[in-house]
Parts: sequence; C-alpha cells; structure tokens
Amino acid sequence: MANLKAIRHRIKSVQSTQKITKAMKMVAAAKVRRAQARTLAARPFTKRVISLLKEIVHEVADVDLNEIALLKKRPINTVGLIVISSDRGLCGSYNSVVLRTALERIKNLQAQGKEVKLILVGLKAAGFFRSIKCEKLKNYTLLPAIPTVQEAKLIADQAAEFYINGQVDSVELISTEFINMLRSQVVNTKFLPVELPHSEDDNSLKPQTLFEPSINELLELELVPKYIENVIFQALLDASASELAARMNAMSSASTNANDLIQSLTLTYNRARQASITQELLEVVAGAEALKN
Amino acid sequence: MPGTLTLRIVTPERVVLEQPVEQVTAHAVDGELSILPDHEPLVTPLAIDMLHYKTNKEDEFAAVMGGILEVRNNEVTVLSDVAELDTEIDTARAHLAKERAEAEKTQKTDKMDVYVTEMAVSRAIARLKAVEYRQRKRKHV
Repeated sequence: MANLKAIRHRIKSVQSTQKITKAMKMVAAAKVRRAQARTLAARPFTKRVISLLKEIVHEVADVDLNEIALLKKRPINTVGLIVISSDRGLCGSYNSVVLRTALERIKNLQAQGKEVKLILVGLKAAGFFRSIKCEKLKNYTLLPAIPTVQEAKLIADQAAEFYINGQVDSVELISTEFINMLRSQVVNTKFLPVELPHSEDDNSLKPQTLFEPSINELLELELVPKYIENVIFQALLDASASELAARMNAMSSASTNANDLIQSLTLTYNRARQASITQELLEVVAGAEALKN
Repeated sequence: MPGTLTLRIVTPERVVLEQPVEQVTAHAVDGELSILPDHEPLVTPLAIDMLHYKTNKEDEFAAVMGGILEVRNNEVTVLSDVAELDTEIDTARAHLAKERAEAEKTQKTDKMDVYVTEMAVSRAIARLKAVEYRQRKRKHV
C-alpha cells in the first residue's frame, strides 16, 4: 500500500515538473523567434560597415593605418579573452560548450607561454571561472535580456581601453554563432587588433573619394569604433538567439522525457494497484473457503 | 530630368529607410551639406541632428544620432546607432527627455557627466527639430 502512495507521489511531482518545462519551452520558443528576427535585422548594418571599411582601407597607405591605435599590431604577450555566456541556466549544453572551448583556449595559450586575462559576460562564465587561476579584468553580469547597442558599446569600449593602455596585446572573442533553431556553433574571433578586410589591389581608375575632415580621423574616431562595437553587438545578438534556441530544445526534450516517465510510472502504478486488489480478493475468497469448511 | 539618389538609413537594429530621393541635406560634424544626384564620392561623420530629404517634391525629415554618411554611385548610405523618421518620433517623450537632461546638466560638475547630459540634450533637440520642421512644411502646403 505504501508503495502505491509513493508512486502516486512520484507521478504528481513529475507532472508538475513537466508543467514548468512546457511553459519554459513555450516562452523560449516565442522569444527565440524575435531574437532571430533581431539577429537578421542587424546583418545589413554589419555588411555596410565592413564594405565601407574595405573601400576606405583601399585608399589609405599602410603606414597611416599603423598610426591608429586599434589597428596597430604589436608582439603578443598577454591575450584578453572575451567569453560570452548566459546569465541563466536550464539551456542544455549551451554554456558548457562555450566554457569548455574557452578553457581549452586558455590552456592552449598558456602552453605557448602567453598570459591570459579574461573579460566575462554572463553569470555562468563568472561562476565557472571563479575557481580558475586567471586574471579577470571585468565581469558583465545580468545584462538586459535583449542586447542593445549601448551594452555592446560598453564592452567594446572597455576592451579597446585595455588594449590601448597595454594591459592586453590582443583580444579574442569566444561566443556562440546562431545557425538555425537546432544548430549553433562556438566561434573564436580575433577582435583586437582589428583585422582589416584585405582588399585586392587593383590599379584601375576609380573616382577619388572625398573624406571630411580627414581619412585618419574618420577611421579612428568613427569607423573603427563602430566596427568593433558592431562585432560585439552581433555576437551578443547571436548569443542570445542561440541561448534561447538551446533552452527551447532542452525544455522540449525534458517535456518529452517527463511524458515517458509519467507513462511508465502510471503503468507501474496500475500494476501495483491490480496486484493489491488481487491480493485482497484472494484473501477474501480464502477466508470464505475457510469458513465453509 | 535629373537622376535620383538612393537614400539608405541603416542602424544596428533595423533598416530605417531605403528609397529613391531627389536631394539629401545633412549636418556633418563641420557643417551642413546638401547632396544632389551625381555627387562625387564622399565619406563624412555626421553630427547629432536632423536629416532632410526630398522625395517627389515632398520634404521629409529624420533625426540621426551621429553616424557616418557615405555617398557613392548615387547611393547615400547613413550608418548610425540610432535614427528615426519624423513620423516615428514621440514628441512628448523627446520634450520630457530634453527637460530632464537640462535639469540634470545644472547639477553636474564633473566634465564627463556634463558631456553625457549635453549629448542627451542634443539628441532630444534633434528629434524635436525634425518634428517641428515637418509641421512647418505641412502648414505651408
């Protein structure tokens, strides 16, 4: 009898868990669609910035490019890693994949004799790297769920500052790229110094472009900051879309698992119930038989 | 019949506008400039101000919060962090933002803070200007 009660209890608890996972799945499904739309809406801007950068680089001598702090390459001793994770869990392997990749990269760089410093985005990364011996330059946690340009600017400016004042000699970005609802991929992008898109050197006659005030000022004050900001913004958007997609998938499979569990538990429960009824019947019949004699 | 320009205003969040226009007048960091069809290639940063363009002899306005303007092959592209068309601007909100920022500015002493509030003021002014110009033009018609 105690067994029956225990099973009933189990079924109830699995059912309530399923209710939660189902709700989370639906919320994530609704959000992921919007996040995907945002990610796609941001692409034209990124495309234009890159094509503009390409056209401008074409017109500037390499010597001039070296004068811009964010483009200048120097020997790499310390590497800054920006790791983008989520603030919340329950999203399958999303965070663990990002964090594992980051850890591998750190070990790899340390094996090469380079110092690694971290800039972490998201509570999960902050928690994971707390116990790991590595200098943390900055933590960004509990950013708004919908990434905006302002946050991207915040992170990009901070990273640029670390780069300019020499705390790091290069910056890499480890984040998740959103491919589709079922697939996303962890990517490692070189962030600073800015790798300029190389334009093919054709000597064809082109109308000379007018730059106001001057091409260097334009690059240094407007275009390069805009570019790095946009790289981060795009990464944040991709990360949020991937996180939501991962959560949706994780919750969907959790709901299915809960369903299976409920079914098998119900079967066991019914069997146990039937067994106990049979047992009781047998006892009654046996008692009656005994009285007859 | 002169040719037309294609005006494209792109922000990280969306493509605000993409349409043929006859003329674009923008405020660059070092002054106002007008662009007509067959303008020579040009790249320049923009100030936080309004942008004025003409389509089918109609005057239209937009508020652009800084950014870069590029002219090439009769295409005018504005890359900006934030941009709004005059019809999208929330006038009441812009008024509030302006008053708030101006009030805050008087309280700030730190140079950086003053700069930040000044930026907020100019953003609000750009929005209000775009709306005001539109209303003025509509009255004349």
